[in-house]
Amino acid sequence: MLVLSRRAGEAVFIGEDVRVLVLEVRGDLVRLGIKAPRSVPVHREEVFEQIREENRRAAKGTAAADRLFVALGSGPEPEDGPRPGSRTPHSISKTPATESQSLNLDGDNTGHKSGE
Amino acid sequence: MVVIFEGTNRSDTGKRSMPLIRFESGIPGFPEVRRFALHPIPEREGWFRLFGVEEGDPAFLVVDPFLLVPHYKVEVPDDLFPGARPQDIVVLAIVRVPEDPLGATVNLQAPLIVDVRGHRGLQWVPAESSYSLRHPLFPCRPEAVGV
Repeated sequence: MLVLSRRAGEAVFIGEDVRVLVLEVRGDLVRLGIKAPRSVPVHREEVFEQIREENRRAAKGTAAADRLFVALGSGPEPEDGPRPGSRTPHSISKTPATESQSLNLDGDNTGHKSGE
Repeated sequence: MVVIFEGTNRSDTGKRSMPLIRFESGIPGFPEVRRFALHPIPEREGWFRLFGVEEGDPAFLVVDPFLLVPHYKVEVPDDLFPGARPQDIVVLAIVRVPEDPLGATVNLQAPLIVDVRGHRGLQWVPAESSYSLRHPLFPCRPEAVGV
């Protein structure tokens, strides 16, 4: 790991276009200003780690989804029972897309507005 | 510049099925999986399965968050998908269904943002959010009210 010492007001470049500026150091708190292109996501480590963990848990896929809809009293009953393998993409793709339930690609979504 | 999506998505009023969506940065937790397909769940308007197209890829249950939380609001930079129009953007939330399906939760904090025309998607991780990572799908347990 590269270790650098910087004072408030000093910065570090990572590559050509990521700039990390030390704004303020107060006690054990350091405030950083980060300037990066949109393609470089910047997150607090602990927040990102929580989201990663939540995604991993959510990726149980369709067996769980089927259980949910069965619990609600309707919806897709698993074709051959809720076995672990039923969450593979192959069994998912058996689900046919029908016209009325598909995403709108024609641009008449409503309720979107631009802010400044 | 930001674009605010609030109140409605109506991703369920469409006419065509969603082709492959490319998640250029993957989905956190699965950085190596880029190509996903989005299939509507029959007779469940606003609910979809999102799954990686390769064998062994993850699969998610996702939902139109505006369906669940009418005043849901998400703010993203307007250059998130260069060239996309606001009306091309669909917001979806990942659902986690545990062993007991009534304990299902929805990730409203980090929604998926999909550009349906550009076939691009990402999971938006906001710097600050007032929404929960685990918003209960059923806030009141049926047995709590004697049902």
